[in-house]
Amino acid sequence: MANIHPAGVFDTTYEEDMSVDRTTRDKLWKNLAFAALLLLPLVSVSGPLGLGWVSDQYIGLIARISIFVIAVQGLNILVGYTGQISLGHAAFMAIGAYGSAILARELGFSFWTALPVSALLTGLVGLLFGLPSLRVKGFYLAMATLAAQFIIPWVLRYPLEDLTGGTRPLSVPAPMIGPFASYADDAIGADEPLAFQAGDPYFVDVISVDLTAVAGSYPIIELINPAGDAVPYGDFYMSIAEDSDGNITGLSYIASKAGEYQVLVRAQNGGEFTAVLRRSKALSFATDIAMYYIILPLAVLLMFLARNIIRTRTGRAFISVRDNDLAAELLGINVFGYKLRAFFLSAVYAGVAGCLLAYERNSLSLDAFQLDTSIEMLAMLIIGGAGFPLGAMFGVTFIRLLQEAMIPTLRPWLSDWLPQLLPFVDAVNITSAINPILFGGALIVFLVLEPRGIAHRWEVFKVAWKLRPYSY
Amino acid sequence: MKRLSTLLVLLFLLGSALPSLAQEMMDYPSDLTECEVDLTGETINIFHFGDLSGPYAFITQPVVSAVTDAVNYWNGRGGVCGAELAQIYEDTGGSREAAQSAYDRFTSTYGDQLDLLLLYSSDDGELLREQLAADEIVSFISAGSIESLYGEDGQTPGWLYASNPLYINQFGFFCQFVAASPEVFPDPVIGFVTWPNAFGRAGTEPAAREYCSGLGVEVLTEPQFFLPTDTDILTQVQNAIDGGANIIYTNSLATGPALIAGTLVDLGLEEDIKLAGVNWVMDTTVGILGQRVLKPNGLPSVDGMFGSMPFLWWTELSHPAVQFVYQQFTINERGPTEQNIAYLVSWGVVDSIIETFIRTVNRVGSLAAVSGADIRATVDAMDYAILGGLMHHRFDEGMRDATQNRIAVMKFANADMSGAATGPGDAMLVDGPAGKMYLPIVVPLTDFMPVPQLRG
Repeated sequence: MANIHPAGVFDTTYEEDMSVDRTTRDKLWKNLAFAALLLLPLVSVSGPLGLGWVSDQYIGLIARISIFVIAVQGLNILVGYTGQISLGHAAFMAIGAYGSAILARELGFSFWTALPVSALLTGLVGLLFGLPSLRVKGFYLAMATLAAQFIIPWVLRYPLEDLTGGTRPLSVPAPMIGPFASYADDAIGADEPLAFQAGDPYFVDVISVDLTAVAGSYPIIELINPAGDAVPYGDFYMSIAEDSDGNITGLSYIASKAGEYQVLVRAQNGGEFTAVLRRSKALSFATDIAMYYIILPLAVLLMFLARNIIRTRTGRAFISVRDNDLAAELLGINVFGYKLRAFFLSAVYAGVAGCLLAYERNSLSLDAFQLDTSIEMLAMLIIGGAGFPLGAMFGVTFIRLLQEAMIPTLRPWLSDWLPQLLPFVDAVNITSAINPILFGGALIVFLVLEPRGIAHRWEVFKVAWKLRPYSY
Repeated sequence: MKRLSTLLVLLFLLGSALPSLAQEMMDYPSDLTECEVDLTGETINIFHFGDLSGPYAFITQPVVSAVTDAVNYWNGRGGVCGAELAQIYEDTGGSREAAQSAYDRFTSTYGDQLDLLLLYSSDDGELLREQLAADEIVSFISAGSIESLYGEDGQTPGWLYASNPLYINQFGFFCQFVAASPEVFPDPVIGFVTWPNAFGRAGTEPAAREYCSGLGVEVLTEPQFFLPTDTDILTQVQNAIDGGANIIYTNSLATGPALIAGTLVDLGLEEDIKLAGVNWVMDTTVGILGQRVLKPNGLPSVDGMFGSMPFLWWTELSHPAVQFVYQQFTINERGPTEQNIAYLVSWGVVDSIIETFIRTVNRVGSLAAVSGADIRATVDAMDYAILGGLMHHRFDEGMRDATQNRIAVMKFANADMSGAATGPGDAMLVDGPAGKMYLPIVVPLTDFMPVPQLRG
């Protein structure tokens, strides 16, 4: 779609010609929309302002939409911009998800370092599975990428089972900034419970007990949570420090639950010890609202970057490869190199999305990264508009709203009405049938009536609006 | 489905002819705690969501029917302590995305009212474990995985409470049974042929293997997996047998056990290889689906299949709990497809929810004051015979699953309903759309006994 300006707006400089938002009004609308999305959690039911204007479920929904917008935008770079196909995108997301979780759990990476490292790792795996694009394309490339969808989950499930948990769920720690400097240090006496208040959903207390004991005394540390339960040493939010003999010399714990905690150190064998309870604050992103403020800006940033890729030399090369790879090669473009770059970038986006999904849910399962998810993302792109920067956003939003807002609304009505209209419909299974029927129906409608997707229709609408009253 | 429905109609009719039940309305069999607070004008909501449609619909659909009947029963008698009962539920079709979405919708719509939630699937339990703890919502689930009930380390009790023993403990209990029955299971070697999800893999852990090995029961290290949608699992069954298994154990339900049993018959190994499984294999649905393949002796392929039975069953009509549920089933003219595990157990779950609320309200003084933490405190201290003995809820000392189990065997009724058939000659046969059909019955082989604790 040509870059149409409203009547009277002319590009007189190169900067104006290259600008993303040509008019102040364009910029204003985008900034207002972004600001409104940023303000949304504040006015939600659980928001700090307590206004309750927006249901919490929509905060979670927007966060999930944003995660999939990132993933589908990656697919857009590969499919829409470069004309390559991938049926293994969900598997790439799995690498980002499990990669970041393992980095955090096993190597102690924070979310902020695990995110880029896992994204890069996913990009490298994407490169590997992009290699067949040197020799094959179209249907055959689809089959080659389909291999990724089978191999990667298998590797995560079996050879890496010790790290990934196989089919069992894997807990993921909440992102955190901090802990900051200790704000309270208290000495702990022998067999004297030390009580303290902790717990704030956003500024959590990170506590640590440092123990120095006379050799052979082996004191036992007990931590009691607000529910009155002893926190087991295997608790996900606890880490243990041990000496070379395996004796516990301290522990640290993220006390996110509000209430009174108690620390008790029991002396053993009559030995002496010194123990100090240190408390510091950390900014936690455990709540849906806090995660929203990581996910949404990242989605906007990556959308913006994807939008700008097609304005660069690389992006133009992608498009030339998509439109006619033979002609592109004759023009001196390294077709294979650019295909690999597209695979790399696409996988990086998938890796970021996978990492965000893991941290948003705090729990990982391979069931979330099956072939049907790959196909669903491809369908989202087709419905949204492959090759359009906004295609991913439109496609994901359309499908997710269909699944999470429209279907629950339609369900009671369809359950009553459909078996009467179509007697062969099994009333018992209507609910599970609605989703694939509407999803498939939407896909068919778009393929037949608007094969270029919602984004194309949006561009047509925009041009018509700008050229009014002479839009014809 | 039609075939199944027709057969279950016949089963239902046969059930009506079982030993006479009292025609007058029975008293409620539970010894519920007396109400100390009048809740007239208030509503106690029973919240639940899960895979009501899809592959598990056979088993899960009757949950809604049972809860509906229980709600109507109580409301018709003035409610619980005067409060009206209501159910709020949603079908997630077995999708994790839909389960998360339903949870978000429930928590945002019902907020403080949502202190107790009923879940069906281990996968949902695992997905929501941390969220339930963060939101302080107690959840009752039929049988969760170790991770959903006790966390990754198996030592961190959460906010989910299961009515049945952990699947790994059920497997350990089965090993006890095998070890104690050398005449039935000589030189026992167990191979898993099971579904690949969290539910299916339970029991394949090294701890279970070591426990069984200590009892003299070898368990193959490599489980064989198949999908609920698979129709040919010859390779998996053959792999298990080639590995040395003479007992196949499965964590699957509905079509799963029937498919394994049919494959054993196809291989001509129905007498040499025993089949056993988790509590869900002992369901009417399996007994029906297992008739698609008949053994050479003319009985269905699942005849003689062993399984866990941690609650009473429909045929144990001497117990008031079963009599009561059976009477309600009849009065409410429930469809024959609903006479299964879920309908029976769901009445029990509603009973335990009611008892939980009564005890909690008695303690805190009003329904509005009840929080998830209060519910949790009640459940932690509970020692309660559900419906007077259908199941037992006791979750002290950090337990989150049931501790009692028994082993049963699936058989088919003989012509005069006095016992199990030995062949087509003395079996009760009824007309079905595809010919004569057999009537499945579940015969308990042991008393209720403690299960081993194998979660580590």
